[in-house]
Amino acid sequence: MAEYLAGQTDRFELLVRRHSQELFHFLARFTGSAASADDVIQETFLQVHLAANSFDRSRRFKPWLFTIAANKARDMLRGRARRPEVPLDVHVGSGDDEGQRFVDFLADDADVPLDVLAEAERREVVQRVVDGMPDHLREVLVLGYYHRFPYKDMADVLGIPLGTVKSRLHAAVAHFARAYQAAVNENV
Amino acid sequence: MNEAADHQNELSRQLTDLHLGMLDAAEAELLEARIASSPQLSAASERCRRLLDQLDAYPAPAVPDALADRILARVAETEAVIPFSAAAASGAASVLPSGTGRELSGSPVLSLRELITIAACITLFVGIFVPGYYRARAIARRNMCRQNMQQIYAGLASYQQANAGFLPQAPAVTGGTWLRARTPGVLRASNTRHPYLLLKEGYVNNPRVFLCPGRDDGIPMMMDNYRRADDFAEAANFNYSIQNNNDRRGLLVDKLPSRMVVLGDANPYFSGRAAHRLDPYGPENSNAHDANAGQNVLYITGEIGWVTRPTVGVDGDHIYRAGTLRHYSGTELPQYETDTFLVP
Repeated sequence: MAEYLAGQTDRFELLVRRHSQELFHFLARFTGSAASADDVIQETFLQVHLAANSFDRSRRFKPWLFTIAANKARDMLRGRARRPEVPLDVHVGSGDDEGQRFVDFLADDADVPLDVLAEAERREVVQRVVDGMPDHLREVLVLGYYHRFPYKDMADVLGIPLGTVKSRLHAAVAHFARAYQAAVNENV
Repeated sequence: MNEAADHQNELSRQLTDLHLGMLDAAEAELLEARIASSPQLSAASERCRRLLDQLDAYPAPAVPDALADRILARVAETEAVIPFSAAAASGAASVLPSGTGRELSGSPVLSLRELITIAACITLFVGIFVPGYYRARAIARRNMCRQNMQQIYAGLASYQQANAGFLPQAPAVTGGTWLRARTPGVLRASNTRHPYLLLKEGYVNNPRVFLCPGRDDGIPMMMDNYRRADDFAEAANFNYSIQNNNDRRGLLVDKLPSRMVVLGDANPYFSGRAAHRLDPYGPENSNAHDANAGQNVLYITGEIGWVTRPTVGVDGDHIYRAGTLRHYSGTELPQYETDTFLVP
């Protein structure tokens, strides 16, 4: 990015080719739609191009790119407004139900039929459960699990404190555990 | 009990972090050692791993063909319209609907520039339309006030035709004052007893016409039979000011000059019916409309006008003063035949 800003315009193509695949995967999982991801990724790189001058060279490019992409995707989802809202202060381990359920889930006597579904069925169920998660939980789960972003980078991308990222990721896992368990029970 | 629950929650968080690869090497090593030494923890860890493994069933979506080429083409297309250097210099990025706003403002929705733009638009909107709204409302109230005066004039005209050309005049009260007396035992002889005759005798049927729309303190007088009373029940029932008619001789319309003012918006020197002395620095115009900008006045001919100064009586007479008097106790009358002295 620094080279691009220094005037080497061909470096932009390099950035696009290097990051477009991973970014597309993030956006497709976050938005739940390949078509939406296609639109958003174009908007994202266009924004990168137009706002290149505002890039802080002391920071890394990838979190900045994902920040823009996440904002664009959030805008798109907000416009679509198809998902139910849940309170933002859901935390695992803070004494709420969700945390308790996750602990229960990990307990010895929990009888959770995780591996009973056929592969195709499991794929469909997982996708449905992840797509059905609240945006702010799905976002952090996709970044944390599928893209292995460290907590600090996620905090940068999402623009929220580190502690909030941690509790949100734990809440996302707990949410997934509960929803997945319910979905499996329905299908068994 | 709570400590045990907290401990369990902390363990579940640590296990999640371990399987997500969020722990550093030392933390991971320590936790793995604990897991190895505890069958219960080991089972929980295995369950957590299996749960997270389920997420792998969500396949990575197939990347569309030539995605990078299409992105580059889109950017090139835009570049043809907005050169990069010009776009950067003009801050074109900030007008897009989202993106880097988070770095600038901390808001997930709008950038600082966009917020400032919106605030400027709102300010402009308010600056243009709010004064216009207040101006229109003030004009509307003046017009409604004017309509009230027209109805009062219609009542006055009918009354004087039926009463030998005299304007309404209630019976005199010897020793009475038209202001609220400060001395106990002094009789009240308010000036509003005279226009009350219009209501009492049916020349005006709607008590609301005696209330100026420009003021907020008016209360219409309501009673089953106005004939039972001799005056408005309270000062708030009549908040115009009318020619002081406490002189026993009465006001004969034919003898009054055509520029004689007989009714106007409230006299600014009196609050309700309380006694008052003139304030040399006080307002000259009525306070009924537009912060003392002026007042509606009714001439004896029926003409109604909006005037921005009080010296619109005969020969420039001040309509809110009796001659040159500056102190009022409630017994003062107009100082000469053409002296307009509008009082509550």
